[in-house]
Amino acid sequence: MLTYVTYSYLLLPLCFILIIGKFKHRILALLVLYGILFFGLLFIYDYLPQNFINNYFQGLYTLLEYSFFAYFFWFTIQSKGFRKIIILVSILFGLYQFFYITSVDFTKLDSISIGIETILVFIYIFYFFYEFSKNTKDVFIYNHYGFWLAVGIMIYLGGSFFFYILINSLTESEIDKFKNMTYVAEITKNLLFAFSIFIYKKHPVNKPQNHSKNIPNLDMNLI
Amino acid sequence: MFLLQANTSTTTALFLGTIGMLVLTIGLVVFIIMHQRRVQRFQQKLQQLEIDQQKMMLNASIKMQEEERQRLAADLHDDAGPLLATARLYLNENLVNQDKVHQLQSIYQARQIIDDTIQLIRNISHDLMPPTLKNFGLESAINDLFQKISGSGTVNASQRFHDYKDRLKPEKELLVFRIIQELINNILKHSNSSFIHLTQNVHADKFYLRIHHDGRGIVQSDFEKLNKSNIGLGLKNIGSRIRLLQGEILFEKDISQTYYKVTIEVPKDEPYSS
Repeated sequence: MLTYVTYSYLLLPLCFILIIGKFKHRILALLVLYGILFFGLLFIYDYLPQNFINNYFQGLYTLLEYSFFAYFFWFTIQSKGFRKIIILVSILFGLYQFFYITSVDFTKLDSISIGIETILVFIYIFYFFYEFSKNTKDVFIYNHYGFWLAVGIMIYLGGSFFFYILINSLTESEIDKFKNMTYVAEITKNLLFAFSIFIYKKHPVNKPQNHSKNIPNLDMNLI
Repeated sequence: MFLLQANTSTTTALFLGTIGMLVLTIGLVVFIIMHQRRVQRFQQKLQQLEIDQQKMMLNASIKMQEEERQRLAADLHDDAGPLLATARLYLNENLVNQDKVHQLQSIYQARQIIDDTIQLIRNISHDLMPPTLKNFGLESAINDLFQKISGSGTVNASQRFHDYKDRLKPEKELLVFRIIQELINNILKHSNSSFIHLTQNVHADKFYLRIHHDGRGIVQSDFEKLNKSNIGLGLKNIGSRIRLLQGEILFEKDISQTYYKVTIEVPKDEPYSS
């Protein structure tokens, strides 16, 4: 099953090459990079020493994944204030993860980090939906690539949240039983990500330009 | 046994938690889609209201045009008509009366009446298209208007154009001038102010005009309310002219709470040379 998960990441560059062919949009380029990078990480997973996996790999994986997701929403959300919050929170999370990786020797997975990552990304998603529902005029939300990215991430994080949180207290047989559930969620996420590339091709989104309203001097003191 | 029970509850929690998260995800997605559809329905209603408002504005504009025509017809019929008829009577008298003195007197009277008629027609024509505006532009036309207002002695009207090297197109100038006329009319009629000051400037591709006055005024919400109501024909005309200019108008009270301001923003077009 893990093999399917690994190869599902290749859907992203594949769709991109088939449909678009050019790096026209930063998010699309990032999706391709995300696909290639995570395919690579999962591909080399079996060849890595267990010691490295336990100490660094899982933590780095979480950090990288969070960074990609946070960047998606940082780029898509238009509120400057919330974008600043994303940057600040991401820096704090990065620092936390750095100390977590270097100081804590986790047995199976960095459950706490994954928990924090899920909560943070869910907050970004809620805000994205809130902003979209507030600003939208004629565009249906499902015609926006960000919607499919958000749904994909929600399914993936929602489907694996409890498993990753409780993994350290599960037996090997239970892990084997439940891990397929997370794999399904992950493959679904990659399919939805690939779908978002199609959506982008069909309904490209241009970032609105900020029109600064500079009214010139028209006041009384100029008499 | 304890370990087994603990593990059973963990797996149950894991299973239920995951199902819960997925249900939450699906629920949220459904909610967002439903909410967006509701918002869009609401926006469609708003658009309909806007269309209705536009219709109302168009009606107001047509009504205003009709009133203007009626006024023009009345001026010509009630003033110019009788004057010319009287002049005709005097001239007719010349045909009947052969007395030289009487003839000269009636010709003189007829000339007087024709002069009055010429003046009357000139006034009507000036009302339709101020010659200063046509020949010298908006700045001079507003200057003329303000001089007349200041001449009355009750209101001190002044203006300052910061940058009007490049004139707007004549049709745009006329529309802007009509808006200014309407605003000034309203200020004179309703505000009881002691001064009116107009400033002009340009920035990027926008042309700005701002009128200050110290009387009773309105703010944007009042303007919008009056625009939607059945009263305030003049304001509706301002609204439709602004729309025609693809500009914006903003009614506000100064921060000092002493003055009211009306700011007009109009896109500048390529320079027009007179």
